[in-house]
Amino acid sequence: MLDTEGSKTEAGWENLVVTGKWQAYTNAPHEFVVSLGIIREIGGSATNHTGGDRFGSTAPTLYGGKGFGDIPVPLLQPFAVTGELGYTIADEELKQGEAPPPLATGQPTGGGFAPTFNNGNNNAWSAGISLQYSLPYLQSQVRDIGLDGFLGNLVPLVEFTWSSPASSPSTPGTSWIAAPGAIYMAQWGEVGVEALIPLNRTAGTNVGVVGLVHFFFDDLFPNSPLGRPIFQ
Amino acid sequence: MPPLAPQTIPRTRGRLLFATLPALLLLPAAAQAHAFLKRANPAVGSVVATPPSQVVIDFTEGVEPAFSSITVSDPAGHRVDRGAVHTAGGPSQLAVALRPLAPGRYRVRWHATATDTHKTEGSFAFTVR
Repeated sequence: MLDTEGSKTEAGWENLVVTGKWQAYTNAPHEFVVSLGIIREIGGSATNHTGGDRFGSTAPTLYGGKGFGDIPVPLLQPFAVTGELGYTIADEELKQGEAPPPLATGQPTGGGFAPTFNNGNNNAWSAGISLQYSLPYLQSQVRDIGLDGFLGNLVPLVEFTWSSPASSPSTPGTSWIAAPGAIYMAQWGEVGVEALIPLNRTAGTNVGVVGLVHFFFDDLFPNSPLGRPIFQ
Repeated sequence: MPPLAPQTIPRTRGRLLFATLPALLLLPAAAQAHAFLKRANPAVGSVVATPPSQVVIDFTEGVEPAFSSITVSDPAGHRVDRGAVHTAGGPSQLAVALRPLAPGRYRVRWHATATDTHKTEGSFAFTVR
């Protein structure tokens, strides 16, 4: 959704993003998993009038997750840490245009011209780490404290994300964001909402909100190929 | 926009996640699910004064007893259950009988196959005072 002062609010889709992920290492007793993935953003698939990017990108990404179920303090066992580190390779790299030619009078152009850029993007590093506390895990594996319904399906969490350009010109610079929120787990999927709190000026000056809905295709369509791993 | 919670899948669920609107429209009729522990007797993490004669687990979905199991181990790791599980109060409930229990902490491990063939597993402990 794009809300520009003086104009009507526009709504539309961001570019389509497809992720392939391979669960490379799993240690169930210690609740530890490492995955490798490729995130592909398909350029030009977004809604044009909301400013969708016409160039895509590819991001090899490393994922990790560790549950605390193997530590001896029961009430800390529902904690888990997850993280990811990715390097985004832009299809069209951001480049600064050449300076305008000298004026006909032979005078230099001086400093009155703003630099021009193509419509590309920087290559960039990005990372995220989340700390979460699973009430469903507490309820079913550690201690039944009588949480039913909504509360018993909630996973409070806080996430920190970082992104930094890896090529020049670097526009914008490094950004840090903290995102406290919660995920509601249902049998058919999950619904999450997080506040986006900028931690430096590059990340912005106002608090935002992000929401997400995931559908579990293997539960919604249990007897179909949807939602099954491609390779097992 | 940064992704929400890079890996927010609870540890008891291994799922493939996709975000799409049309699925929502099919939700009421199509939704079936993995079987997760809803309630247990003795309760998860509880301390009981009277040794239980069986462990009963209520699941969130119907389960297949022939392809599901509940094992109970004493503090030394020895099995104290009597083996085969049986349905107790309905298709979403499983139970296993126990040998006489001495005071101590017992570990319950369960594997469930839901009626839609999805497999889940988990464990919890209870203590006999």
